[in-house]
Amino acid sequence: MSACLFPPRRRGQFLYPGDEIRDVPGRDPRQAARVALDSPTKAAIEVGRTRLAVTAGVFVIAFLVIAVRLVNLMALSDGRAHETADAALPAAQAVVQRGDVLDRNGVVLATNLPTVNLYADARQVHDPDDTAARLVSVLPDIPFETARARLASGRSFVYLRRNLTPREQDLVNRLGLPGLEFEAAERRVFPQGRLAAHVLGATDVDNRGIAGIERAFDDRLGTDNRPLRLSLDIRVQHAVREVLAEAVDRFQALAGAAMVMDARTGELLALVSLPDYEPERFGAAPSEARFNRATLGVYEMGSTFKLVNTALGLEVGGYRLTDGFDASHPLRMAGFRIKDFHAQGRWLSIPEILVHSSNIGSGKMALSVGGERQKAFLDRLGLLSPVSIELPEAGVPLYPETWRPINTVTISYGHGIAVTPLHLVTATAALVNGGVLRAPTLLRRGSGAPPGGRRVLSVETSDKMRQLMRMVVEEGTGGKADVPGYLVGGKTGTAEKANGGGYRAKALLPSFVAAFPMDAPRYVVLAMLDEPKGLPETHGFATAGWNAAPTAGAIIARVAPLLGVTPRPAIDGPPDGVRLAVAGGGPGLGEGAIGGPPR
Amino acid sequence: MIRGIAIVWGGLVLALATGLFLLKYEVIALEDDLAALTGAIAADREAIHVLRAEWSYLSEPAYLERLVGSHLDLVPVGPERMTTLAALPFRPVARPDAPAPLAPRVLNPGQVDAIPLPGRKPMTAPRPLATLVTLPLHPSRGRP
Repeated sequence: MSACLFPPRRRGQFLYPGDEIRDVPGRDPRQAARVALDSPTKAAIEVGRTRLAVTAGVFVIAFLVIAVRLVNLMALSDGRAHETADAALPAAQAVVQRGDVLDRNGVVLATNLPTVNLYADARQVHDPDDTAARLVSVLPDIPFETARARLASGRSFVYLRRNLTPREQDLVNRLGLPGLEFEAAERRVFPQGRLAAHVLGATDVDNRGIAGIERAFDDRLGTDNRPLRLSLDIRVQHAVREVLAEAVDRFQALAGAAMVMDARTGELLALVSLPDYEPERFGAAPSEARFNRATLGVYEMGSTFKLVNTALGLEVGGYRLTDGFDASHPLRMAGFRIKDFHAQGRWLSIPEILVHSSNIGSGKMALSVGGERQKAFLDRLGLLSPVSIELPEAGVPLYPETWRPINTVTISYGHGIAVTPLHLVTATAALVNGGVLRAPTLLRRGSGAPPGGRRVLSVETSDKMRQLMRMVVEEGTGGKADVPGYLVGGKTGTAEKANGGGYRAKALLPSFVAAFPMDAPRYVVLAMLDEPKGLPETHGFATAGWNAAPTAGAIIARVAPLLGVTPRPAIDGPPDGVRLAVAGGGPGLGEGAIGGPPR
Repeated sequence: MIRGIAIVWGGLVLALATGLFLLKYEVIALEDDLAALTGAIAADREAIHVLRAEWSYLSEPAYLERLVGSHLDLVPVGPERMTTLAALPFRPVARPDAPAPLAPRVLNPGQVDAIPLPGRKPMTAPRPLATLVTLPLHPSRGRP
């Protein structure tokens, strides 16, 4: 084989390349040149030969370089084949142009769905009347006149209808009319309907957020396709909404609001404001349905503020639970007589002031602490600044410019200052969770250590507040909120709604703020009703103990098993010191306590 | 020599040309496969996206509750139905001198949420209660 391909070299005359055609002087051109040693011809030939060799070498090197480069590019692909392929085929493109919104367990609350829009190229429409008539026959919700006018407009692009279903698209396609075209589009849908309407908000026809989370995170949802995970738990949200809707219906209230907050992290698990709306039909909803009462509406919250006032007395005023004030006579101030709704007509200890919801006692306690320190304490609890929540609907508290003594007294029992219900829930969470105020949030926090908050109360004061809140439910106005096993603690509040300069006695705003379980509070619950009516079974009363408290209790009974809170056998009441103070009365201490608070 | 090399090169060129030809058509076929796969993946991803929205729509709590109300006897679990294993009482041990009357047994007797329990096995030996006491998951909690 090798002998065939490479035959043995034939020995013959030595010829330089090119010698065959060279015209050597004095020779026959056919005859091979013979070169004498040491002749000029020989030297010239040597030079030519060297040049040829060098040139050939250069070419060989060049071709080798090209060959190596080719092998590198094609066989070894220069290490960039994957990048090149990836660049040529952008895989895993986002399905839609706007990110999803999920609840804390991953349930889809808002998402974009691909749809088609129907438009017309009116220049290609032959007979607008006929086309419009046929189109209306398959899409009856388009008025004939509108369709005809648009088809006859002569414009190259005019929308006929947005967001066709696949069936409608098929029907229009089957018409086979020239000039009707489809355009790929997207539509924001809210699969859970009105369940979390006030949290999610709404989008306009171009899928831009116009309310709620959709508006607050409009840029984020539009640019980043990763889903946005909220702190809401849709099961809790449903239970809360259902219970609240039942209460609003039963007590014929104008509206209602309810919230469930994780007391340790500030995450809102449920936020309901009734009446609510279908997010997809936001524009058609009446304004009272669009109004978010939980975060935007500011209300004088009434006696639930006595929780804050009691914490003020214990933390800033330095009172002990055995201290108290005389509530036997109405408090006269600046032309007002401040009375008690559940009047006891005697000296009351601080726990009794809270349990019997005494306006007189609260007012005297606030006066003895002082207006400046009261204002500073409310500010520390975040009750004087706009609520910090990831919603554009964030309410701004209303409070007097100049803090007079009469303001100090009324604010002690929750009148003369208007805050959002979310303010109160946030402050209550700080009162019961050991004294750390954490900003409320609608976004799910990562697992692990709770976020850093701001210490606003000592741990001891928080312990006392938990005992007091439990007592209100065990012995006071909040009895109907109790759920056996869950150690519910809370406070009722029945505010009279302001009307111009005065208050309307018949228009009440009862609320109940609760936390459970009180030995280690996990969740804070608020229920608020707007102008509920008295019923025969509530003996005609429309105060919080008869409507808001049982509503909060029903919410806790529904929600606690969902949240995995184990019911526990009831503890044996508060410590002896508290109980003695409640039982004792101690008339001698009353007036003295007002003059100089014990340090 | 020259002819041999030429033949070698010629063969190489032919082989290369054939190889390239085959390679080109293989690449075209693979690109078609790739385009089909990419299209299928995109279609599946879109279907998954739509189905996730539909799943959320169909598992809306209010809708499920209506369905449960019309087809099942389930009610929300109340706190009175939650307890821990450790809190469950053991069966009281009968005295040997008292022949136990086999009364119907219920959990939470006299309450609205009373739950009937399975009846006892017929007494065949004097010690079935003792064996029952040792049955629970935590034998150390069993009392004599």
